Amino acid sequence: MANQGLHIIQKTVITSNTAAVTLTGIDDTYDVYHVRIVDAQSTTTEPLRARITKSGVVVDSDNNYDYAWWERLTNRASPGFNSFDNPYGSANGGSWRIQHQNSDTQAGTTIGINLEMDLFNFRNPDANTQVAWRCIFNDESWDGISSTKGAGGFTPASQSVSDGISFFNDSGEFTRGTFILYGYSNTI
Amino acid sequence: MATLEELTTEATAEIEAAKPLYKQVNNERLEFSDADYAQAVTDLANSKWNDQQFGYIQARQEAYGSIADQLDMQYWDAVNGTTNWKDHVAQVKSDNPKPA
Repeated sequence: MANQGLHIIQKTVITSNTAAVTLTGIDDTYDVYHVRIVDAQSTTTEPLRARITKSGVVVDSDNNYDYAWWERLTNRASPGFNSFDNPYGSANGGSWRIQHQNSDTQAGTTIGINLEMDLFNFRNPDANTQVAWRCIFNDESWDGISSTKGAGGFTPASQSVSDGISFFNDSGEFTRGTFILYGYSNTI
Repeated sequence: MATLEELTTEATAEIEAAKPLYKQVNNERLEFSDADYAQAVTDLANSKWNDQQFGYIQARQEAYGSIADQLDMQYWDAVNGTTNWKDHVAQVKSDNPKPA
């Protein structure tokens, strides 16, 4: 049984250009798992995406990933808009998209992506693997602060557990950022 | 309008030019495997396809006035007999056409 409270399982710090960051080690030790990304920047304005891993291998299976998110734009007269994307049958459906295109995470800007993501059901082979996130970033298209709150599900093609999560951009590489995987124990 | 196959060819050339690419797995820095490179090509080609086929949606969202502004346009159009709101919507659509 894990100790009570919060524990860091993996921590990755980007020190030179890296196209993908994978955090594994999700097992039955903790009750809840969580990812924090701090100030991630990249060489492009392409959206941040995520995928699960099984046995340490990244899973890209179209028709298995689904997600929706709501974006808030701080410099728009309207408070934001709902944005839903059902990737079934569409290109690049094999991942969760955290933001829309043109999200400005490029090196040299004053703010990168900061993200908190809860991971659910990664160890339950009978249920969809689920994530819920909230993140803040500087949006290139509006040149202002934006945030998304989203949720994603992965329907396994066959019963199996997930053991990690991988982050990447549609193109380009991360130039800096810290990626941390936490485990929470419900033990009192 | 490029096909997905043509975009895949473009993506392959771009990934080849970008080699070597690296990943960090639990903070261990590793060069991409062949499978990782193949995945990167697929992802980039799909991204290009999405931009080409669905980029107009976001472009229109960015170009439309706020709901409040559009309601204001509709009110004054009704009062004055003008067509500012219809013109605004038509302009956004024509500036950001849906792919054929």
